[in-house]
Amino acid sequence: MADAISGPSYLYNLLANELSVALYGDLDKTSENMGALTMMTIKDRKAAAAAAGPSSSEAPVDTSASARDSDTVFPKLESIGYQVGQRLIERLTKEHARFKDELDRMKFVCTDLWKYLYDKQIDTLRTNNQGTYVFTDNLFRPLAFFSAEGVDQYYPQSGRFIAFPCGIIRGALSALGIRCTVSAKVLSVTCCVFEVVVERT
Amino acid sequence: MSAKGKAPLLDNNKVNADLIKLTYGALVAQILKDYEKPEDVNKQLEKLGYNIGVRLVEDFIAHHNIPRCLDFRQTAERVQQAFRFYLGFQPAVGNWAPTGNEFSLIWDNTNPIGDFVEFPDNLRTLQYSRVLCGAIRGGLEMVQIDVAITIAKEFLLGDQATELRIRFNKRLEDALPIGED
Repeated sequence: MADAISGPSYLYNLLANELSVALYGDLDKTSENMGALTMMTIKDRKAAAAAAGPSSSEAPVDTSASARDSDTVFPKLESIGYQVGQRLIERLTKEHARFKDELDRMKFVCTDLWKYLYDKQIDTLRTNNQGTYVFTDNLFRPLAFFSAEGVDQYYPQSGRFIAFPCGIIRGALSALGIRCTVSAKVLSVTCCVFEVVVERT
Repeated sequence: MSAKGKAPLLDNNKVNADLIKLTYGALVAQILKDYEKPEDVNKQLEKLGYNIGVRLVEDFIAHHNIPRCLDFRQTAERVQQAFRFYLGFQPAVGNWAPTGNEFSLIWDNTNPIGDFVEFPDNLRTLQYSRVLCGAIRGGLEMVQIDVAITIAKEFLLGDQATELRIRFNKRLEDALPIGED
């Protein structure tokens, strides 16, 4: 994407921050609810079901409904990411050769998409060959500016920054024809691990 | 931080402008879903832009060696420069009011953040560029300039250009801490 113009990422960081802060108002209220939740799992399959059409209509999961009650922000952030991911793939694959298999598409997400988004590739991609893929990014851009001091204090907040990328991965993969759930956890200050579980029907 | 530490990545701090636009578009769509009324959405976008502008101005000043603006024309130049820096698109400054306290930022035949946007007819009151207004207002407020901004033309609604009209209201005096200036 050499033709695209670029701006400093600071603007984007602010925008990403605003996504969760300005929109959904009361940050304190949400962070209280999220206090214990350092590890974040998103199972917002409803959007996936809607995108995939009626074939998967059994899937409006109860767990997501309860998660929605306790915190509405993450699913929304994730669905914003989903839309962005879907559209990005449309642009990025414009002149790309046909993909061979699932792994090929995963690789595309890890290399091309990640480079486009964060200027670097995913550091490791592992799979158990049964539909589970683990992406590890040792220096995840949205977390790179976090202070190592006071980690305990801000650790719970980091979920707000990875919900959006989770959505991007899910959206990108769904545009590539892979339906999946994506969960992520922050291992250390800057290291983020995404787990992608492909849904087989 | 060690010698081979994290610096290189952080130095290379560019992000793709398409990503910004797509994210903003998805964000607007989400706000619209939440608030439903375009008027409410405009208010939210303004607030969002304001919050961004308030912080962005610090970053801008830190990156540029900017002397104090002596009149509103210089301010206009800085705003123009900031747009080039952050969005890569430089607007034209024009349509000065004779009194020199009102000007327009004009992007001909484009909207700097609306490349992938199509407007449905029932949302014509939605101001997609409102976030820019908020950002300018927030940024200028941090440097003690109070402005009022209206969207005069909107390319996405079929106008020839996107035009933001910026009017100087007053200089904010109270915000200065004691001993400054």
